[in-house]
Amino acid sequence: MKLTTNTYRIAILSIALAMAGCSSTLVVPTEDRNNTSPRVEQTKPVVNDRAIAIPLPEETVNQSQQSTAPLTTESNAISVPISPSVIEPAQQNTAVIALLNEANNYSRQGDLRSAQTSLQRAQRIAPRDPQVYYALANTHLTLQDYVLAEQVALKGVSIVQGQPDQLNQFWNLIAFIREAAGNTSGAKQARETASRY
Amino acid sequence: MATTKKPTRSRKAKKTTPTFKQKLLTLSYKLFFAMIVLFGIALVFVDIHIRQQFEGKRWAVPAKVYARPLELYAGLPLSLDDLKIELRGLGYQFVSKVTQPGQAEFSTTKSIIYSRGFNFPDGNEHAQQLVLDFSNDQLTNISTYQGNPIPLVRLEPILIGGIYPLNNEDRDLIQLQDAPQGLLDALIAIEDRDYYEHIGISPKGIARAMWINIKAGSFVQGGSTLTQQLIKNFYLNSDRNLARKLMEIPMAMLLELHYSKDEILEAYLNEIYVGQEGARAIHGFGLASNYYFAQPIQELKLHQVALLAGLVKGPSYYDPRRNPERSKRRRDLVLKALNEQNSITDAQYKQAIAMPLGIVKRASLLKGAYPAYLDLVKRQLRETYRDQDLNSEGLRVFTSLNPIAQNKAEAALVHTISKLEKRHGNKIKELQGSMVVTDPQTGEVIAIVGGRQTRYQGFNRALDAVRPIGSLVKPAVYLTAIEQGYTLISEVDDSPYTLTMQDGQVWSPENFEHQSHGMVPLHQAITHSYNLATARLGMDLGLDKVINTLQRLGVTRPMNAFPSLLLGAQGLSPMEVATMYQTIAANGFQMPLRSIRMVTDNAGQELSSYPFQLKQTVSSNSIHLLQYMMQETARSGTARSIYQHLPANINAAGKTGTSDQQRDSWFAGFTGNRLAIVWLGQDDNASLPLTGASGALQAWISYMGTETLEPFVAASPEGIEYLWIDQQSGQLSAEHCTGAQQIPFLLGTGPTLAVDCVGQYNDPVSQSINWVKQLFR
Repeated sequence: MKLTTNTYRIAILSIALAMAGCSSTLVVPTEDRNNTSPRVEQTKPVVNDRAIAIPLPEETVNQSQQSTAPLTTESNAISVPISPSVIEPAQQNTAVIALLNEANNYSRQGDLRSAQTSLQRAQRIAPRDPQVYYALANTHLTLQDYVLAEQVALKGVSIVQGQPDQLNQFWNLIAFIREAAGNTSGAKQARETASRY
Repeated sequence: MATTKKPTRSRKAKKTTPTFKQKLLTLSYKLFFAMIVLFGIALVFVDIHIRQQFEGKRWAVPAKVYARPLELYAGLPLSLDDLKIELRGLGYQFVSKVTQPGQAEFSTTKSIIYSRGFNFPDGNEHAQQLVLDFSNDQLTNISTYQGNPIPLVRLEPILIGGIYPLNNEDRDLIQLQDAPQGLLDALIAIEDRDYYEHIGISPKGIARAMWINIKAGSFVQGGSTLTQQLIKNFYLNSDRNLARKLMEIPMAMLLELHYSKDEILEAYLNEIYVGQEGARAIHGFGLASNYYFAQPIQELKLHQVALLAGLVKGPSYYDPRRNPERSKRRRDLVLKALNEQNSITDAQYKQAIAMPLGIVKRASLLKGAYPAYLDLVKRQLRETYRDQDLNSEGLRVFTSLNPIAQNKAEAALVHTISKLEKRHGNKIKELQGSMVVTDPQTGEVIAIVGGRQTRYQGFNRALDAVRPIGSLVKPAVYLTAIEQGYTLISEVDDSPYTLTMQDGQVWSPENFEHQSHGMVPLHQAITHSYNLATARLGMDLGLDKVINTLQRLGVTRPMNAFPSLLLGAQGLSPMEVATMYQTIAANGFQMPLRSIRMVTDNAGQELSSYPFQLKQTVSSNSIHLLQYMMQETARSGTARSIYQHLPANINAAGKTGTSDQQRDSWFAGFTGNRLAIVWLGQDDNASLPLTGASGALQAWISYMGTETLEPFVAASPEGIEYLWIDQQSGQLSAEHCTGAQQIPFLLGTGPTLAVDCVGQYNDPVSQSINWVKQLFR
């Protein structure tokens, strides 16, 4: 039945486009609201007539993301907002990898301020890359700035929704931070949350 | 006489009493001796003063304020046109083949840049040739000229302003080795030919100058040496009197006694007055190079340095912008002097005099181009630094201003204002506007427009125009409702409402179109911005709860708990609104909006940094539901004109705002990488023929249409479930049923009863027609 619907859709859309004399490729947004595991989607940059291009992941890799996947809807619900339950991780940018390495080197030398400068530079390039927040939270933890460390880690949690491995790591980090801050019950809670992933 | 009375004394007096002549002589000796001593003491004092001044901090160097450096890496969303905006701001020359730093060449999909390099606090970027490949407004590849890939490189940041001392002296310090040899040769040729021979003053030079002046029949050359000129500029005031002239000579000689010719020349290069821009005095050749040519001094050509050397004699008289012909004659005279002294060949001379002046227009100078942004930076700096530190210590301030976004925001606002004025004729006297743009992920302020005259330093509406925010307050009301247990489909009452207050005043809000809608689901009440439903809802929730929510969203201004607060009677500045919406865009994390990344001393040592800070003040579940409603506002509510102009997949979220009697038109909205607040109104607070949607939103759309956007990604948190809801009954439905809409709920708060699927599930034709219709809505 779905096949039939889609066939009709395609036919009607083709007619409409032909009538409008439109020769450009219309990328129909698709949406997945099922709470399932991450999709593997073969995608290309979305290019519209205003020449706005959004880089998309070529493949799903277990790496942090550099840019956001485009969110699109396939159903008849385009007039309503679009909210995915899962955001696929994207391929990490080489620039971000370089900055993460740089920050790591600084951290190892004990130069945490410089590490933070590098990480914030990485954050501006890839503000949705969980590794940036993980590393940044760690620097605050080492500096014993527990409040900020926890908040940065919570920010990490908010951007890795639907990625169980990452959620597990972030909640364990939060447990560790809370423990270091002397918040035993909070740490226990965070560990319990981590164990769900 | 006294001699008879006191003979002994008289004898003595007779022996020693000098004649009048002798007395005079003695007095003269004494006076002469005293003068010598005094002169000697004065000289010692002057000497100490000179040495202290010269060796200590010689100049009050204003703090330099920089824009963010453009980070280049493969995958960066950046069009070739955007790159050109950046490079123009940096004063790059666009050439057919790059040969030196500060040049760029372009083809349709490629650019080669010869960067200048910059000494950043966290590392140096060296000057190098970069090959950039572009495709679909994206930088796809970056490599060295030899083809080696580069993962990341920063261009030098654009200098956007300075913080000047009271005397308004501005300068960019240079070292002697930075100055092109041509400039030194030209200065010596035209101002002080014997510079390397004399002892601070040059009788030969004075004689020569007199002879030349007599020959020319006018005053073409002065007799002051460069050292004397430096003394004049450096230590003495501008009064022309004999005492000053007399002081000049010993001071010049003392200076020569203590310091080498090169040291004095370097001081001269930085001190000399070379121009005036309003109240700002341009000192030194480092700044002059930027002021007249928008290029660093190292890149200047012979004809340019000759012009600068020629300016010294009379920066106003030979001003190349006001008196270009006079300035060219002077420049050519300098070149002739160089040629006569064999510093340049005949061919070089001919080539140089054939060159145009090459002065940039004032408009292309970015220093001082963004007064509204600089205003914010100064306010933030003054929280930490004293004025004298800011205007004299040569601090370097690195900000997050994005000149590309700033240019686009200015253009969008100015263009929209003119368009609206044209459309509405004399219904609008003088429409004003302001804009704040931030990065919703990092909380950095990337652009600020303070009014339609974007270069005007006056009233900064983005920071100081506190105006009623109208319906921009509603997200706080609905967020409070969500936190109090409302779902998105809870019914709220949009019927006429009258409230009699304790003092007997009656409050009777109305909907914008003067109609009421009865019982409506919560999400519809906000997406269509119903006032009656909001007023009732807010009063049920409690004003204190709504104020608490506003505070958690980042509003710090004291607010009165009046019912009219619920419909936006509270005044906020666009910057405060940006703080509030930033928390919404950042999933409930409140973060201080930052314009400064780092402040360093003049040697590049970090003095303060402004790290990424955040605090979760609203749960991610509640904020997710609010974000849904704000996305729906953009899809099908009051801001639906967004998708007539912008791509369907940006998932923008926002809210329109119109204040009482349409005095203010607001829009606040965000995509994945841009949050922008727009305010339109008149300074005299007059009513407008505009709503938030027909005014401010249009400027927002115009701006976003020129940006390279990333979609807003509202990842569904764990505690949220999406259910298909029958819009009519509010009960569970299914994906393909007519009138079904997918709506988020906090887990377990959705309806449990389901309606029969009344749908056209079996009618794929009409379903597909509907689908296509929706696509083009």
